[in-house]
Amino acid sequence: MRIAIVTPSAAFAESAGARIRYRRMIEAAAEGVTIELVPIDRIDRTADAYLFSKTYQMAAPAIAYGLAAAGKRVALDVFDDYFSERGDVRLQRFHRWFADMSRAVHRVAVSTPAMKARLDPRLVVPATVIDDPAPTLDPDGLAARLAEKAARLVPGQLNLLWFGIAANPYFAAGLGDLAAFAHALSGEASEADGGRHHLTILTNPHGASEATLAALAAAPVDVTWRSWSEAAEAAALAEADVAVLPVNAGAFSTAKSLNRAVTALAAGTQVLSLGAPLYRPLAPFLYRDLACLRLDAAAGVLRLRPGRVPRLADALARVASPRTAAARLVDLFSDIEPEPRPPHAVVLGDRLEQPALLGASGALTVSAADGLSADIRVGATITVADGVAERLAGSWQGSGAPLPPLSGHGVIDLVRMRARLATLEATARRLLPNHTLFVAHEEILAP
Amino acid sequence: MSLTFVVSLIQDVAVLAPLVRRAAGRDVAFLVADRLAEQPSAAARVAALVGEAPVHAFDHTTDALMALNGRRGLVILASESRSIHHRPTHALAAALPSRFVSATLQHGYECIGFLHNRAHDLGRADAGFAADIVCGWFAAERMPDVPAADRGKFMTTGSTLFLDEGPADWLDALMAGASAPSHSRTGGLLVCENLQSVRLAGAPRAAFLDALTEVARHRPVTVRPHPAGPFAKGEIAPPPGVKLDGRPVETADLGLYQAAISAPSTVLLDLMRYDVPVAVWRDADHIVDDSLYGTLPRVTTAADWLAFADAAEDAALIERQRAFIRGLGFPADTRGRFDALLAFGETG
Repeated sequence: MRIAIVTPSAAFAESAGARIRYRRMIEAAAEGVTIELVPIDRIDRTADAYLFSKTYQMAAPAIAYGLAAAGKRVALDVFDDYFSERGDVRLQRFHRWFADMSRAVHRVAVSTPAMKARLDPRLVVPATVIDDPAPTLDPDGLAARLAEKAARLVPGQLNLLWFGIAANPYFAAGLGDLAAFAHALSGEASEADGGRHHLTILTNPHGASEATLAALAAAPVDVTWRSWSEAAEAAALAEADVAVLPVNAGAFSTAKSLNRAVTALAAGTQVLSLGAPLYRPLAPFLYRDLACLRLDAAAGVLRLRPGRVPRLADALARVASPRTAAARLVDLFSDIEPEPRPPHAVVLGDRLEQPALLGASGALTVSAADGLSADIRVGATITVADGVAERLAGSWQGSGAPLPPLSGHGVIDLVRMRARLATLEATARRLLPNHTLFVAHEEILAP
Repeated sequence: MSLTFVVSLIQDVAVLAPLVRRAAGRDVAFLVADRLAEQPSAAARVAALVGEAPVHAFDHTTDALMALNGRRGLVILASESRSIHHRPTHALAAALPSRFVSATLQHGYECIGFLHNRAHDLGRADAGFAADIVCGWFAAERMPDVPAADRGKFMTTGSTLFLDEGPADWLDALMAGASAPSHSRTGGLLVCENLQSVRLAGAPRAAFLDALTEVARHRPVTVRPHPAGPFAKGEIAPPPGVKLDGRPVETADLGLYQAAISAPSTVLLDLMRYDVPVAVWRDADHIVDDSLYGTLPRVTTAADWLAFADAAEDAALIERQRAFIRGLGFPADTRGRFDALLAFGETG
């Protein structure tokens, strides 16, 4: 089976998501299965199955539908929850996207049980959980590294590490969580123990907000700042005694996978899990407070120690196996039986990213006469491109309903655009009664 | 002992230079804002300030924090407040961890959060500091505009204007009641402009230019263009008879001039420390607030300018402006006070 993972851009291949979730799956794929990353603007019809990942372009649902209609097996993969938070109007487009995407594809895969519990009520076929895979574990190497780290660890002066993206544009996450939980990093270090712990922060330096930086200034720990890179992360994990993983209780954070804890443990780093109990499946290897870790270190019984490497390997095989992940992906697609689908059409909104992709999906496009160019343009009269007229319903009269003109003023147009799209959609339904309709509009609409 | 100087605006260079010289021989490093480092005209001045010391450019606060990894001691910010113009330094001061002590300097006579003119008072919300120590020119009771929340961290250091040996000795002698030493002056009339300032926008700016043009018809005038002003930027040509002297204040020979005129500005103190007779320009409608300039002579029309320049030989003028300085409330021991500030670099 040939599986194409459809990504939003070529640059996505360098992201943490691609690196952690897909590269490891690709390496663990069974014989006869090939999995590759393909940017959405480069997809062709040569693969057997398509897994859409983070393609938040509003053209994506129609493209996915087009592939399914062409007999391909199509699924959506969700590993960040942009869809549960209802209170933030900026996320409205993600909600519309998910609704359209889930009716365009055959199946939905998710990265965690929490995500499945949230999204299942909105799906016809329940989602399949595919864990984020762990890196390959070298038990002997890991045991040696743990012994070496335990030997040089000073309980009163721990080398702590926080790594990750500084902030998320929509959700409280990243360094804000670290600042919120920074009080937990003081331990009980005193002069007698040799002073304070040391924290290295490895991140994209320009992402942190001024407020977060000011809050971190009060952290009861000495901080060294470093720029994140894959190599720097590996080096820092090799150096650190403890990875600090603070998690807030918000919907976005609590649907995250175990991958940060998995990464840290697999690198031979103790884990201090703070806040929401996201990493509970790995609880035997985690600390919830530093004082406990210092006592264990002094007693030589750290939760992650050479003698427990086999247990860690078992645990990771249970919750983060690359082989299982790749197999589940194949099973997910094998279950699909593509059926013929009605043709589809897309109502084009304003400022659409990559509208050319829609034509390739086999969709008819419908737009306002003063909007983007399309197969069918609706104004005082309806104009159609060559070869389209015969696909229209017999009742087609050639005249459209009047569309409210856009004013050029943001707030007014939030309302007018909603009305325009509703009118266009109604017109498209009348003209193309046997088509499945999508609306592709990138911007916010009035609620 | 380690000292880190933060240079964010071109004006910071002259404010910091005497303190950098005072810190010679100590472990000194510089953080220079990208927006300044990228100005070609600033490069030479920043390079001269920095000398051989390590320099780190910063844009975002985190760049600066990275440059400060492993460092501790005193961080000195030449300009920092809640004002939008000081945002990078304000954010940095707020983000400095406790292994640092930070100090923000009063960087001009009229200065947000220290001593306000009417325009500053309109933007009162900008007053306020993130640094640990707020270094003012005068005794606390003469600094009515230091916000209540910052009074506890106020320290009177005096001004870096009077920190180098020459100016410090000059101020000490003045405070001790000495009269002006005699000088021979050959430079004629100097006019300092800051026409780009929002304080002069509109009618005052036009009136100042008209007076300058008229005066230059009668006698030669040297103008020191403000680095951000319209002459320096080539937006307007100097009137006939006007010569521009655009050298930075560190190298300009201000003591040369027989008389000087400026709108309200710290440059008046620069000039007075050379005992150059100065007059404060005020617009006829008194739109520009000059109330912090006490008994200094005022000029408005071209006739006033010419009359002042003609009378500038009068020794009484110089004694009057020395009395003005004496009355401001500078500390008697600027050098010792800045040494005490630099000593914070030894702690931690």
